[in-house]
Amino acid sequence: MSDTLKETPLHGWHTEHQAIMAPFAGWEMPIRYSQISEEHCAVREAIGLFDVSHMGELWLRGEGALALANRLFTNDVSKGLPDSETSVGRALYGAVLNEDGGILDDVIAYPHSPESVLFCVNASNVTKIREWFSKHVVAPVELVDASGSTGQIAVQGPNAPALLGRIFGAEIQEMKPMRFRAVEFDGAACILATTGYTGERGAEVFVPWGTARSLWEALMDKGSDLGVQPVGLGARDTLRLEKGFCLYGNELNESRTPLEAGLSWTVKFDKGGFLGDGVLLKQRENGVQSKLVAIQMEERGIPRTGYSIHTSEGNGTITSGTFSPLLKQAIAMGYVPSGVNIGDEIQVEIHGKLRSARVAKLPFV
Amino acid sequence: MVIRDDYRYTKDHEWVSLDADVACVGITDYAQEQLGEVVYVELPTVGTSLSEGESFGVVESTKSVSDLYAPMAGEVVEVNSLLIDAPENINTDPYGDGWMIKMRVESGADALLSAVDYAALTT
Repeated sequence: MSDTLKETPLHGWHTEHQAIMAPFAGWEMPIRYSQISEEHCAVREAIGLFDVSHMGELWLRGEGALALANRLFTNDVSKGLPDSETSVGRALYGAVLNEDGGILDDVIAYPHSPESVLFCVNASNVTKIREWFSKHVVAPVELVDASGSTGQIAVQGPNAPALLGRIFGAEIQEMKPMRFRAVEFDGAACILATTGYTGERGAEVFVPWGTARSLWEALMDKGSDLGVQPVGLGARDTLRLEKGFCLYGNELNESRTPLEAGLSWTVKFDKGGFLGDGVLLKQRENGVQSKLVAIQMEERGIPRTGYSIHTSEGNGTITSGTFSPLLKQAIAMGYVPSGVNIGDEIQVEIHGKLRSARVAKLPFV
Repeated sequence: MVIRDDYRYTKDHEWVSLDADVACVGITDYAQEQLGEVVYVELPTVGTSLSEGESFGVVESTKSVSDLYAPMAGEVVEVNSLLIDAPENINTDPYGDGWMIKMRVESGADALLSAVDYAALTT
């Protein structure tokens, strides 16, 4: 099986550093280098480096790219075009929907110009989204899949801006969250976006495949006094769950809409229509039947994906759950009937027993 | 990875230390390494009667949930309740402070593996 798994440009570095590797979305990826809780806390207190080169990069290019991007995506891409003076653009989080309003993927769009929009898509959905986009692409717009030539490194944590400043120049530290701009490393054109999946400050850097390893090593080297360490997908999951960020395949799938998933803030109905908006408009008018909530246990036990939730309004299902390394407590997300509210007492069935829990506010930390 | 010569083992990566008819049970060093940090344990109450191979509890890491299986038939006579608040003892001292239950053995001890046979399973 391992010979069919894809390898990122940092694969060699991971194995040289004794990472525990595992298959993830067709890639062999680092799960952890030390222990998950230690890596988790490094990101909350200092800096973590993540190899996220498995993520997909799809470009829409040519005249009309921006308008097409807006048809294929729930957020308003026109709001992100780079400022003419600073060349800093806005990264926009949102969803790509099917005609029924179901989520095909949650993605970030980076509108470089009206003729050039980059979408960062989940590794597990690259093929699906590429095929979906190509069904809708009409000349002169063209679709370019740069996933195989674009590496990606996430630099996350309170000390991340300082480290990024050392590598890319001090002005990087002034960038607000959810912005992007062109940068250079070692002569290679990169894109630095102040985005991430941890809730901490920092950036995700798109870097050419062949330059990814030297950038990673420079970040490790120049960040050693700032407490930098490599972080695997294990802690990436606990970090995102503490902040209540959705994971495609868990909270999001083709039978869920952004309104059910609590992502209505990423849906812009007033921008002139997009694929799947009909169902969403009806949901906005009539309300949703179920919704995603945060859950904190009051009894012992860790809720896990697929466990059932019992509420006075009806049953639901846990989508993600873990033991929070920071809170030292079990936390989870799940879908419940829409009549359930924050603070409500509910129960989760864990190992055959119903156990008390409460609907919590996000983020957990 | 440590395998103690004086203990016996199961295919499910549990160890058994026999003292007359009382068996102390835990998970092996190999098992704790595979799991990573243990964050949660659920153990039976004293007096629970277990048949061989019956699930008697769970051990969970951040990413995984694993059942614990009775290595032999018998009755639970003592439970390591310190693990409830310090499950990390399973990582730091799997053959000592990380012990889980003691049971009065009724049958099944003959089927346990020797240290040598268990070592072969982990390579």
